[in-house]
Amino acid sequence: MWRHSIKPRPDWRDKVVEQGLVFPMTDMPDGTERPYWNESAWYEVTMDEVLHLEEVTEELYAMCKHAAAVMAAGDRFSDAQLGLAPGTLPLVQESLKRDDLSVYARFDLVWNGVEPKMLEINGDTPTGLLESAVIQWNWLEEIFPDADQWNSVHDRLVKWWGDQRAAGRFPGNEAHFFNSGAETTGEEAMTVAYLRDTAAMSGLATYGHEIEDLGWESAQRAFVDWGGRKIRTAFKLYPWEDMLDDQFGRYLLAGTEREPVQWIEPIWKTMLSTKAILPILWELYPDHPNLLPAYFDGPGDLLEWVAKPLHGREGSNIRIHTISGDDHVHDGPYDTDTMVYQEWSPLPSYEGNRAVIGSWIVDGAAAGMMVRESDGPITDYYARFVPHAIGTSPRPDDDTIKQWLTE
Amino acid sequence: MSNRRMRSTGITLGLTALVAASLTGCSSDDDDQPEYAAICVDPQTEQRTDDGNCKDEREYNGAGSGAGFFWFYMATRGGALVPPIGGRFNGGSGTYTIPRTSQGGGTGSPTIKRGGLDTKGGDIGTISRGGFGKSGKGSSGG
Repeated sequence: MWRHSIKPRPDWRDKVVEQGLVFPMTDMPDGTERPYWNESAWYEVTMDEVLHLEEVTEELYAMCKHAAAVMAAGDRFSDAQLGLAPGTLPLVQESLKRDDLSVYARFDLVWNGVEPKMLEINGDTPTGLLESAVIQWNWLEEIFPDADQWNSVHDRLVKWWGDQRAAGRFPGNEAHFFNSGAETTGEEAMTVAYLRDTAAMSGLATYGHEIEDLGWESAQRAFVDWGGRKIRTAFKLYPWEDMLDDQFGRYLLAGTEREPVQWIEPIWKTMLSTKAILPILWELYPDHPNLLPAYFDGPGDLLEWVAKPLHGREGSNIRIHTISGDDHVHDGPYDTDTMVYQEWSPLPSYEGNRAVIGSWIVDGAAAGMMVRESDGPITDYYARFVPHAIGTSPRPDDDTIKQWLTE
Repeated sequence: MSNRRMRSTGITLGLTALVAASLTGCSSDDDDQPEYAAICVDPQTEQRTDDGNCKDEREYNGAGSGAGFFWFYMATRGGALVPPIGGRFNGGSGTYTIPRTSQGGGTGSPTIKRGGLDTKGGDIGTISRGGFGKSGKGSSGG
């Protein structure tokens, strides 16, 4: 992988906003703002690199599903140990047994050119989707119209909705889409709007609003939307662990619903959105080339390590310990009662930009990548999204693409 | 073996564009749901009747409106009681006047659905809201 500088399109900001990226800038702590969408650079990868990353991504995902079943079995953890509301794990077991529908997940990988290593998986509420699926694609169309990109995210999303619809998995051929009003930059509202578009393209009727307006109808024992319509299938960009802690979570935990809502992502994804999965993976697959050693109770024999809270997001509450000196601590709002210790694997630096690879899973298959870069050692809220292209790879024709999608 | 997508001709993301516009200062109404639902009633007998009897959108203004059948509007967020066909409706749970203001603080006309409610009626029950969300933490995966 290489990083190239390039001149941004003069009207890039208007363009990406129009395409849905209403948060093109990040407000910095000193009051200035800086592009979140950074097209003053692009990353070049080779086709061989892409093929390897795809393979690794799919293997890791299979391992994560295995780990989820182990974690939910009940003999290993209590709900409390995983920071989940009492009664969650039995529901996770049932959800796994039913093989509840799941559409997407995102790995964060550190990749120094040899074997990519899994930093974590965001299996419940991954973001960066619109930037990956739409914005960087449109950038490629305009800047390198003959080049290719590792990016079938959009196609696979539309296909997934269509396939599940054809299989009769959406009662009433409809789905609701909920984002949290707590997030005010528009990032989550846009992510959900985009997903709703992909569902609508498959012919589903879609409804949506903020999850705060969702209602509980006691006579029907059903969740209803703000218009009183019964919710049958619902995509939510809102973490399961919070849902279960919320007031309405008790209806889920107690099984009060007459016809339970089919939530996407499903409740088993709680296992794929906790750092607890990292030590479990290391136990199940010791010395796996794409894993970093990770432990629960302390750093063990690790000389340099990162301590991560179970449910931290965007790099919050992380502590880095290196041999050379002071610990690097990243403050944040998350509960740090339980920490997971993972070997410290510094992100590669491209002219001072530390790049992390986000690798998408859609419908169980590797679907594309996104690169975010930071100035510091931790990929956090201030990270910048940088587009990528596959060098030396001419575009496949339409027939080839169709064939890939069915493989 | 796979990578990249289709979109050789570009795609139209209708809702994405709409929400983007609304979040960047233009207004948009995202009307998925009727804010009001109407049942067809006979004001003389105070009974609900078949939707088909309500042929138009005339408003009932008391005895001067003459006999006949009229739409009776109830806010869908209000958790009103819907009587079965032939049952008496609660005049306090709605209005004969076509609602003109939006419920959700939105601008423009409210969405109204006339007819189509369960003929057997039913207790819409009490809808409680606000039981999810506002945990104060963003939910992005970062």
